[in-house]
Amino acid sequence: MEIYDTEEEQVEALKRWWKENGTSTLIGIGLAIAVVLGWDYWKNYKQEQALKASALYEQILKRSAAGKNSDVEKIAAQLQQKYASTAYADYGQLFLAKSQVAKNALAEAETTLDKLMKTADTEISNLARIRLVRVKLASEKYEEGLQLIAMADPEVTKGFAGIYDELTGDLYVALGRLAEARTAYTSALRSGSNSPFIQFKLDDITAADIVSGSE
Amino acid sequence: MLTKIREKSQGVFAWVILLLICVPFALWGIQNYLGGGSERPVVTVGDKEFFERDVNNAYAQFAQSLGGMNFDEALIKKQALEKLINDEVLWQYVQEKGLVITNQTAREFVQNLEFLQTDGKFDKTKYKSLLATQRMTPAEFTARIKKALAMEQMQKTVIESSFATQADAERFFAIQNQTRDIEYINVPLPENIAMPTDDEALAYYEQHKDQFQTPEKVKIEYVELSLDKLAKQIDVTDEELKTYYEEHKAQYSTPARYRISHILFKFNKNKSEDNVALERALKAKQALQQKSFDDLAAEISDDKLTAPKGGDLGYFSEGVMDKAFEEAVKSLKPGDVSEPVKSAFGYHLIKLTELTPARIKSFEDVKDEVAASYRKERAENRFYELGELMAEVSYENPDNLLPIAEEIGAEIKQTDWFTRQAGQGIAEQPAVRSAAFSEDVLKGNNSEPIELGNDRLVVMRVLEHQPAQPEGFDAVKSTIKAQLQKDKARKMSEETAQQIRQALSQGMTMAEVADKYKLELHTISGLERANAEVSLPIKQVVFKAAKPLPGKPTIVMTTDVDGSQVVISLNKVNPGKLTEDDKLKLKLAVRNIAKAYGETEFNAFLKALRERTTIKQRTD
Repeated sequence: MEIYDTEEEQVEALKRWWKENGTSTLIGIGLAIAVVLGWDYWKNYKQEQALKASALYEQILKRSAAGKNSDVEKIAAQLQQKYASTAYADYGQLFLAKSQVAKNALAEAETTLDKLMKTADTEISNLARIRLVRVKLASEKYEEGLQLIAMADPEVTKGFAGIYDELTGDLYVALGRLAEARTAYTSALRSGSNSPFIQFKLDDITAADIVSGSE
Repeated sequence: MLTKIREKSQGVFAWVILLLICVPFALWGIQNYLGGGSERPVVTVGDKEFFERDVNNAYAQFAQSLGGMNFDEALIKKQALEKLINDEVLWQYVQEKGLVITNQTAREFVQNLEFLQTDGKFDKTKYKSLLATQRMTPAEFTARIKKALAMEQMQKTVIESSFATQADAERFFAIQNQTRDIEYINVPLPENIAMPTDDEALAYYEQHKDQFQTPEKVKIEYVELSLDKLAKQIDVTDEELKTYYEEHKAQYSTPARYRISHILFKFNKNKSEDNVALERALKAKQALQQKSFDDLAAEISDDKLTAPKGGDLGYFSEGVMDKAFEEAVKSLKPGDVSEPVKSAFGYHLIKLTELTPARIKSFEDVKDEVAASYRKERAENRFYELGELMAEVSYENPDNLLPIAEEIGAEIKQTDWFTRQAGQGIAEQPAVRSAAFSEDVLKGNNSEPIELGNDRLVVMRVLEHQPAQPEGFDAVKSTIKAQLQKDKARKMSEETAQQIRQALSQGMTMAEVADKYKLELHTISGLERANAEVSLPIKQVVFKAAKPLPGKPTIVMTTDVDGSQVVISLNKVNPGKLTEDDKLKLKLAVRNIAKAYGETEFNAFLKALRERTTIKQRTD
């Protein structure tokens, strides 16, 4: 650092410095303010979007409970178009699929669920896959159903294993492969799934060689 | 310490209100008020720590939600902890996904809470007094409601978006409606079995000593706060009663009664043809100039149930039929017939056949009733205040009931001995028994205030405690003998049943075996699951049995309700068909199955969230 003898020299030095660096300093300060404001604006914007999407989504919940499927489909599309960045867009698609199944448009439901399975987060993607298999079962595409389950990464399906096992059992029953169905249902029971149907379906395909003496 | 006292005094009512509005307990109280520096968390979910008191709160709330039923304390504690963890992982997910609740949704929810309403409308005073008793600002309260609603939104997302297909329902009915052809032989328990000797009984007693114990018992003393009692202490003047009567006049009057008949013109399935029904109704109205209402109803009403009775619907209660229908009835004079009125079913012509006008009871007539209600209403506030006080005083003096008794002006009463399962007087209440046998009370502390219904509160402490004790041989001798006798009979029945089974496997038919053993052969073709004549154990084993191969029936055995053995031959399984009735119910069935799927999925969803969250539980 230089040592200045007089005030004039100091002022001179300051002036020099300002001449060299003034513009970039101003730009720097300006940028900082812009970033802070922008971030704030962005956060507010996000929050606004989420609130608007939530309000729309509440409508889906209400209309779906009342069985007004055409309304559900309209709102789901709106969510998809305007609020694609919110989680509500995906949730709307779940209800869209439900409504498509209700009017027996199984092929459309397949498309909806297939897309959701590929794009949504892990948990929602699992739900979509489970429901897609259910549609395959209803459309008698049993092998495709089995494939969908086989393709799922066990790391990712953790927690949902009981449901996949039960569906596997259903698919095998439909294919007449009862021994495999039994294994699948038994495994579903063991996973601690709280589905009320597993034992019911398993009891219906008891193996002939097991002597079911009982107390 | 501060928080503990604070939590205590927020007390029982806070829980009840919380239960009603389902706010997860995780939010309750000031979390980690003490900083938790020295205390180790009981469980950590992600980066959220829960301490002893959080878990205790969760437990208290959960136990309350079971209505004081007598369950295993350790088990409830475990379930409460599970719920706490589930709620927390769900909440963290909800935040991560950015789910939010609008002010309007929160407002609607609060305004629709029944306990914040008076005569069906949101009551601001009630809302304010709720906040006051909870010591919460509106902002805090709203934040809690929003959290709960956001979690509910996610739960609904999983459960309510779930669907079942027609195929699912059909597969269900194919099993549910399946019938099975069976033959069975019941091998009854032989009678005249020799009574076992004392020695045999004693030997059994020695081996199974732990089965023969007198149950654990306690005697308690308690202080009771009762709304009824408080009400009696309140002085009232005639002036006050009159004002109250005027304000609540509707309660003291009998509404008008209408007896009506109708002729129904149903809509066609095709809604666009509503006009057909209307035209028919108009034509019928004209025809009434020639014909009596009764005859016309019998001829053309689509309501086949009432048509033969001249369309008589009996007395008409408000709130059952559509608004328009109701209004039409009210505007009629006795004997009049209405213009066609539209309802969800179709068009109606309505005739008012009898009218008893509304009657208002005079103040003098109902004075006692008015006084009782008025007192009760005034007493309620006092009841809540004293309830809070009770909790506070009890907490400050945990080894003694006297201060509470003095504070609320009640006497200390005592009970007789009672067990976990049964008691007399106040111990008839499961909530009282459950509290009396709780760890804390047995240790010698005062209980928390226990709610009995909405209008009684009890704080208790144990006077005497008698642990389970072995029973002497003489006291149980006859029970053991009867038991041994029954066991012997059962064994003999089992042996015969085994012989029968063997004979069947060697190629004899059911009829031949029945003949050989002189037992009756029961034959049932088309046994349904819902059949009420065949006992449950038989149905269970039949519907669990392997399907028979042609010419090779499946043989199974079971024990009937009376202990006798049953040998069953399952001859044929008839696949289930959809009955006409089921077809009508198919929509409902699809909805019910979807709901079951949804719940299973939500369960799995929570499991998955837990899998990916780091959850550490303290293991001591």
